[in-house]
Amino acid sequence: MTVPLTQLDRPRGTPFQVRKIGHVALFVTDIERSARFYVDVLGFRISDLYQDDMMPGGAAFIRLNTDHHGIALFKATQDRDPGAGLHHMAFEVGSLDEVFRARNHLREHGVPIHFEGRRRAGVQLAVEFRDPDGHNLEIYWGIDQIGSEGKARPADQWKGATSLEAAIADPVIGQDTSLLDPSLARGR
Amino acid sequence: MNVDAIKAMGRPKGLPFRIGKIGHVGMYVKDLERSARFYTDILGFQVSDAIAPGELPGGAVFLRCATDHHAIALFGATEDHPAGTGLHHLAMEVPTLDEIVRIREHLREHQIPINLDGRRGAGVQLVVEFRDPDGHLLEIYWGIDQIGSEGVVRPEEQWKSDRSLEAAIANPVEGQDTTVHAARSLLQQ
Repeated sequence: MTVPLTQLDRPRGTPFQVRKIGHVALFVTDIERSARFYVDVLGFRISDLYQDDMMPGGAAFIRLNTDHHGIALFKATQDRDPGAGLHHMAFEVGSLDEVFRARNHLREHGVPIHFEGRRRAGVQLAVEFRDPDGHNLEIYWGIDQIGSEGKARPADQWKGATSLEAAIADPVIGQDTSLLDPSLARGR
Repeated sequence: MNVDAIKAMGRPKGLPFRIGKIGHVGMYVKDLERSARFYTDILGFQVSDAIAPGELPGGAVFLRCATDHHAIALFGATEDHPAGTGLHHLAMEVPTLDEIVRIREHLREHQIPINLDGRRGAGVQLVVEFRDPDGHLLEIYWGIDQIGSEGVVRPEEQWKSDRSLEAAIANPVEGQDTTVHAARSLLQQ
């Protein structure tokens, strides 16, 4: 180590602030077995499932508070052993503008972005990239909130989008995709 | 995957705790400095503590994004734990210390082996640690240090690593109220 690591600090003017770890997705051997563990033993609740046609091996989205998912389980594949397997980890920012700013910021730092737009289950707007070891990271805003009645948004309202501009041009019901600074969107 | 069976799963009534949030994630990384730089310079996290490889195999860096002492913990990869896809552990917070005591009992009733109960060093939270069916290491905790605007972190000489909840409760760190209320009967006398 060449510098004391405790001296590293947040650069002034970082154009977004991560507020929390919103969710963590894990590779697992058997989604049903793991879903049972997270529900029966830890008291989480199922929000949505992807079947094989949406995601090879399927996926389960599980909530522990009002966020649509706090844990997501993805079926382990040949390349990805279960157990040690982090599928991805997601950080929430407080505004949609910050997702756009994060996109610009990552580009300026030469960090490749491998997804941007809107995810289906959860309908959050996100940019996705990798850390230096290849861990998949997501910065997002606007994940669905699930109230006491326990109803997740019906899947026919999902609108997967593969750019932030496409996602804000076509919001899902109840999602306000106005930017405080509209110049952040391309083509404006 | 049996979709109907999974959709029918629900939180059992009467669970004696409620997990409120994901507090932090620990990951194995190849180069602690490179990764610490990425999480601070690119993502704007702040370093709360760093442990040299001499004190802990591989070393570790604890980073915060809000007031919790750490949201991300980076652990230097070792031969047994290569960098990259490696989740070190995942930690979930409960609001009260009573729930920590109850969770230990709950896991015992479900015959889930407990890897550790007690108090961690950096962050000084009281924890119960165990594994999910695939071996992912999970931590349920209460009482992690909060770091305010002035950015002052608890000095290391105040840490008290304890290897049981009973020891951690009997021996609180400065500023930590380890009073157990209704779950007191579940503690070993």
